[in-house]
Amino acid sequence: MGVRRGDRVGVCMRKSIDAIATIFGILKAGAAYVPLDPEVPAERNGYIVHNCRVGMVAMEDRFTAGLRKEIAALGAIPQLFTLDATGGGDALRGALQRDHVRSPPPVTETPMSAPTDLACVLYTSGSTGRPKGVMLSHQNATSFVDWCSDTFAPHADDRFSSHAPLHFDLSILDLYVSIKHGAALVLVSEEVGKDPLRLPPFIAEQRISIWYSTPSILGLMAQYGKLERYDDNALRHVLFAGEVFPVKHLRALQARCSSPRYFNLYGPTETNVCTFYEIPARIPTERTEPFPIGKACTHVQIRVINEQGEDVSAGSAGELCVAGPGVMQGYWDLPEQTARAVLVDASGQRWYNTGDIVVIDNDGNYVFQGRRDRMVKRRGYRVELAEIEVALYRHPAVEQAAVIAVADEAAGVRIKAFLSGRTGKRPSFLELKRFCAENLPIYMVPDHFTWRDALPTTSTGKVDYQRLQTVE
Amino acid sequence: MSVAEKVLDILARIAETNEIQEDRDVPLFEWAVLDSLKAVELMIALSEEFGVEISPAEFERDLWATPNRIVAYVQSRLSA
Repeated sequence: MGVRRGDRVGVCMRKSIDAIATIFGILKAGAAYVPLDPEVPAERNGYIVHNCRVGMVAMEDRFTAGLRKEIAALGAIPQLFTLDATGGGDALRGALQRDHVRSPPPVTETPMSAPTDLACVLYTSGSTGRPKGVMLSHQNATSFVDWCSDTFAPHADDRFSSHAPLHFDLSILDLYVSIKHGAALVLVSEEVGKDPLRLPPFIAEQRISIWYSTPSILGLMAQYGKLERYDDNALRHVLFAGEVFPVKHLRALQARCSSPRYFNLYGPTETNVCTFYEIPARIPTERTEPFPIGKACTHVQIRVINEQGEDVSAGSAGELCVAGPGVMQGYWDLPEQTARAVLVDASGQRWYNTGDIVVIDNDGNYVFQGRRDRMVKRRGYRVELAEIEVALYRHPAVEQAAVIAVADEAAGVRIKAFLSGRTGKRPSFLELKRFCAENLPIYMVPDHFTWRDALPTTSTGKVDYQRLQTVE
Repeated sequence: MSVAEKVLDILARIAETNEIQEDRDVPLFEWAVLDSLKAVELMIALSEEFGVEISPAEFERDLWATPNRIVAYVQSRLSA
């Protein structure tokens, strides 16, 4: 199909053997894969395909019409390779056979990728309103995978879950640690993956031994999953990352599912996991404080710096920075943003500033305090509040939009939008929900909308977010 | 209060809007009015109100997609 080393290929498929095989095929050709979430508005994927100058998109037929239209609106359409479905690999085989009949592929030597060649580009929420692509090299992925080998001692009898979507960096552990050790990878469909009642029997029946996901689904299983019925499971490690796991739910989970070891993994997409912490075997009942994000992984270096760029002393808060082979190559086509996020020190070492504020505790563990900016995690997904505002501004009735996040025990975080309008007629709650769902990924749709005649401002005329936080 | 009214009341509370009582064909999941967490809360609340066990295992997005369909589902479970 003409894919060369260094090209980028989009993949828009539901989780399936076809999707995984497609990804391995792309890597084997020496190209980088750009996973596209089938559940977001087609416009977003169209933007990514264009922005990343993708030469080809391998996709399921059901997504073709919408995506083709969006890509065409922006310019040239790359080659589309479509499967009529996904599942056990038949669709991919069928599509390849049809293609081979038209033009038999030449026998070529598998190109050897260099460590710094791109393996994938993962797009995450951008504060400008457009998602940004994190460029991950082979070395970025393998340095992380090797750390997993050292830390979790996987073996060929392990059965890894593949719960995270393929556009999430959690999938790097699932796909590549499993294959490195000749272990099995058990694909969890999107429907089952959201269902706290169907997951526990699935995990037990499939004899999954290593589970990796964001905390939210684990918390739901702990509360509603009737886990006591499925205590005969094969789990030996439960790994979670992406957001804070409320201790209440973690304790309940561990009490009902006590055989595996539990690990809190921390790291932004830009570095993958860079610190980790093993949860104690029994969580004291009085504990309410979230657990630390722990200590640096062996393959990276961590510094915690203040605003002047100096290392902070123990007990003081600072911004967590990461260096080493895990650090991304940069943001695709965004040299200025990359330069702001990745600083080079005097010895030439590249440090990624995570924007996460931490404190070092008495045991030398990093403890997450909050963000430097307006980014929050929702169900493990990164959400730039500014991106939601940009979308709201597209609504004709919206003159001003300010979005805040408020901590919530049950949901983790609630997103509230404050709006002021041009005309008298204000859209209803449902209309706003619909508008947001059509313009943003579903996890970015605000929970609340409040209309004001005007939004409060600070002395410099900017929206006073602090005041909005204290509104009830 | 009829079954329909009770169901819509509970749904309005969990969805945090009374608008679903007027607009009964709203695609609740497509428009992010309900998510997986709220769906589970809804089923538990309905189970408690009507004394039937409505388990999240019965949940299918198509069957529960709109306020009308939810009412219809509960009614069918009660008459079964």
